[in-house]
Parts: sequence; C-alpha cells; structure tokens
Amino acid sequence: MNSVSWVEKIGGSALSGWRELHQLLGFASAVFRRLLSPSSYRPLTVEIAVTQIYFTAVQLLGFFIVVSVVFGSLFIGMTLFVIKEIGLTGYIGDFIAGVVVLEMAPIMTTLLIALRSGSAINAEMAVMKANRELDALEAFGVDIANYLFLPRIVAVMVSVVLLSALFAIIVTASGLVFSAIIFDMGFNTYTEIIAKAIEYRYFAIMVIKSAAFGFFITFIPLYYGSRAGYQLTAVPVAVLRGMVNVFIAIIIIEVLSLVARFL
Amino acid sequence: MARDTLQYKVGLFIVSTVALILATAVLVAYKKDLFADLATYRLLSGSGEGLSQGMPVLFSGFEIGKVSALELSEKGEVLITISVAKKHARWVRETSAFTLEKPLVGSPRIVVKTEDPAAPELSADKIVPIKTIDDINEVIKKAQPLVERIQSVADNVDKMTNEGSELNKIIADTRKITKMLSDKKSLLEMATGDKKGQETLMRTLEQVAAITATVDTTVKRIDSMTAKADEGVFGDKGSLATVNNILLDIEAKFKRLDALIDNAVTMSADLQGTTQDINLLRKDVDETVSSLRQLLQDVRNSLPFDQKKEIKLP
Repeated sequence: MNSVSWVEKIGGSALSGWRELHQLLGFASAVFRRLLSPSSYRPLTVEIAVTQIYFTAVQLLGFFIVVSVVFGSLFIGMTLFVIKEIGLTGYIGDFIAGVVVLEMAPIMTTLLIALRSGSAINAEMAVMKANRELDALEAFGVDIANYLFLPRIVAVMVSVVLLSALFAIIVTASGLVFSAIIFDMGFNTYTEIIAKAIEYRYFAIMVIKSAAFGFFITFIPLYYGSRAGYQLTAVPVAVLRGMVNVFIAIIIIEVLSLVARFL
Repeated sequence: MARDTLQYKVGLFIVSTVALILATAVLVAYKKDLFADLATYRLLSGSGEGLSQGMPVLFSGFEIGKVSALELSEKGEVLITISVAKKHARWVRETSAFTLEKPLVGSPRIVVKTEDPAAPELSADKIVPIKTIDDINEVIKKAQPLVERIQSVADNVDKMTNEGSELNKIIADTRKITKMLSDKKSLLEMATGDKKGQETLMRTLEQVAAITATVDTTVKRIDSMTAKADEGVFGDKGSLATVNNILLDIEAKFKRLDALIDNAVTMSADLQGTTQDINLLRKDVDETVSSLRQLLQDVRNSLPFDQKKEIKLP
C-alpha cells in the first residue's frame, strides 16, 4: 500500500512537472510570436525597453568591462601558456574563436545579467502580483504581455547580444597582449590567425545563442514572478523557483548549442 | 534622471557597441581576404577522402587560401579548386608541391611547399596532382604488428586457460597439493605419506643434531690444539725458530766446509802431480829392474851358478 502511494507520488510529480513545462513552453511560444509581430511594438513598449536596457546593460557596463578584462586576461593568459607548453601553437586561433567567442562570451554575459537583472525582474513581478497590480492592469484591459513582458524580454535580449559581443572583443583583444608576451606575436599576425579561425557562421551562432539566453533569462523570471501567490511571503519562493529554472534553461541552451554546432 | 539623458546613454551604448562589432566584423572579413582579389588553382587527387570545401590551404603554417570547390573528373578522380588571395599568389609556383595532410590532432589541410620562389607562377589551367600524408593511417600501420602480437599473446593466454590445458592441470595439481597440505599436519607427513615415517625422520634429525653437537665440541678441541701447535711451531721459542737457527748454523758450517773442500781439491791436484812423478820413477825402476833381470839372465846364461828360485829385488 505504502509502495503504491510512493509510486503514485512520483507519477503525480512527473505529470505535474510535465504540465508546468508544457504551460511554460506554450506561454513562451505565445510571447515569442508577439515578439516577432511589429504591431506589438508601441511607443510605450519601446520606452520601457529603453529603460530596461539602461538598467540591464548601461548601468552594468563599467563593472562588466572590468570583469571582462580581468577574467578574460587571466583565462587567455593561462590558456595560451598551456597551448605553448603542449605544443599546439597552431591552434590558438581555433581556441580563441571556438571557446572565447562562441562559448565563454555568451555564457559569462548571461550569468552576470541573470544574477543582476533576472532576479530583479522576478522579484518585481512577484511583488506586483502580491500587491494585485497585475490584477488591476488586467481589470483595466491592459495587455500584460505587451506592457510588462515584451519590453523587458527585448531589452535583455539586446543587452545580452551586445554585451556578449563586447566581452568577446575585449577578451580577444587581451589575447593580443598575452600572445605578444608569450609567443612574441605581432598585431598583424595575431589578427590574421584569429580572423582565419573565425567562420562567418560564428557571428550568427553567437547572436542566436545570446538572444536565446536573453529570452529565457527574462521570460522565466517574468513567468514565475507573475504566477506567485498574493502573500508577500510568496515573493522569495517565486524568485527562488524562477532563478533555479533560469539556471536549468542556461544549461539546456548551452547543451543544445553545442549539439547543433558539432552535428 | 531625465528621460532624455537615459535615452541618450542607451543610444550611445547601442550605437558604439554596434559600431565596435561592425568594425571587428570588417577587420575579420578583411583579414579573411573577403575583399581581396583571388587567384584559383586546380589540383587533382585520387580520392576525395579527407577533402572538404572550405578546407584551409597553408604555406609555412599560414593560411593563404581555401578549397573553394570539389568535383569529380571524367576519370573518377577528384578535382580540387583552391582560392588564394592575389597577395599570397607569389608562393604558388610551377614547382610548388601540394600535400593533403591529415594530422592526428586537428583537421586536414592542404600544405603548399615552394622550393624555388623564382620559378614561374602556377597557371590557373594547369592541374597539379596532390600527395597525401595520412598520420592516422601511418599510426595504424605502425600499430598493426603490435596489435598482431597482442592478438598472438591473447591467443596463447586463451590456449593456456583452455579446459584441459597444461596451466589448468597445474592449477588442479596445486589444488590437490593445497588440499593435501590442509589435511596433513606437516609437509613432511605429506611427503612421506606416513605418520611413522615422519616420526622416524624426526628422531633421525634429533640424532643428527646430537652428533652435530659432538662434532662441534671435537672441532673446538681441535681448534684449541691447533692453537697450541701454532704457538709451539710458530711461536718465538717454537720449533720453527729453533730449526731456523740450526739451518743458519749449518749454512755457516757449509761455508767453512766449502773452504776445506777447496783446499782438498788443491791438495788432490798436487797429489795427482806427485803420483805422476812416482809413476815415472816406478817406470824407470821397472825398466832398471828389467835391465838387471836381463843382465842377470845373461850372466846366468854365461856363468854356472846355482840357480835360486827366489829373486830378491834391489
């Protein structure tokens, strides 16, 4: 009897998880369709998006550049040293293009923005729900998806794409300094090696990947924030659930991008 | 914060970042010779294995071009078209050798080697055969004998471990011995197969031990005697010292005897001279006696005297 109820619990949890995932993806799909529709973009939407870009990217810019320079330089320096030690100097370009531009830049940027803006958006939505602001907006016939979701998602997507590119450029540039120190390599040689290793599709991959990261690290906090309870105690629970699912989404997108790249 | 200022900052951020990205993209495109004039050359390979469109063409480790097209010829060979930026075309000459390298680490590439840069530039119409260096196959070739050897070893191990194999027999025998060992009290009992035999052997061993003790005592006594004998013979007052003194004395006496012998020899030589003189004297005497005898005979023959039988010597 006990074992049956235990199995029932597992089955119930699986079904509930599946229903939640289905609902989340269905809602994400609806929001994505709105994203592609030009009629969704009204002056107010654009204005909110601009404000969100300011809070997400511009305010973060100084700290972001410092992190990129420090972390990127250390990473590039150590890696180039190891490359020299194991005699794979011929693959510097492939390494910088393949690892830094395609993998490290988007994921580092995404993590920084998810920690800073994703959690803030999640808490903002949960508080709005607890204060019944969302109910009030719905009562007045305001389209919440267009007014709250869309501008934030667009803003974070634009921010992640731009900051990822900036991160890749800064780290690649710091690689120039280290390649000059470790390999006695000049600017022309270094840029030629990097340029030869970068394929044009890398730009598209990086933009799509960063945009996907940006979409989900905003949509998931918005989704879980808007589904929070009406009590203030529900706010941290909603933030926690939202951020855990953001982390899972980042891993899934990273894995899918790797699979797509090497297939 | 004023709205205009916020929008200005966001606008500035977007424009400057996009401009930076575009500048980087243009630099990459320029370095990838996207805006450069290209020269194309044609190569021929027996197989298309390892070849792909976009594959790099290297000269001295630097990428100077790419494989732009692959197609099958009428004879079933693979025609490779490579595009090289005009600025690098000087490295592709009539005498250049083209090699398809398939390294163990990294992707395949076409490597251009030009011994004589002064040779005429390779014509776009000329089709140059390409050599292939396959590191992976080379490694496989080298590893093949090793794999065969390992296979042989594995076969031998298999044979050794087969049912009814010598190894299995040895293991079975070992098991028997182990079982016997576990059943018996000692190895000795297992070896003799008889408990009485073991006891007899033990008694014998005890006797041998007693004999050994006796021999040990005897040897100790002999040792003691030998030590005393050593002292008697080799000691300060031992026999050897006395014999040595006697020998020294004898040696001195021999020396004196040598002098005496020398004197005797001299005397003997003198005596020999004397003897010779005596011989000569005797000979003279003999001759004289003979003459006298002859004279007496003549006298007897001449005169009638009574003959006496005895003749007295003078």
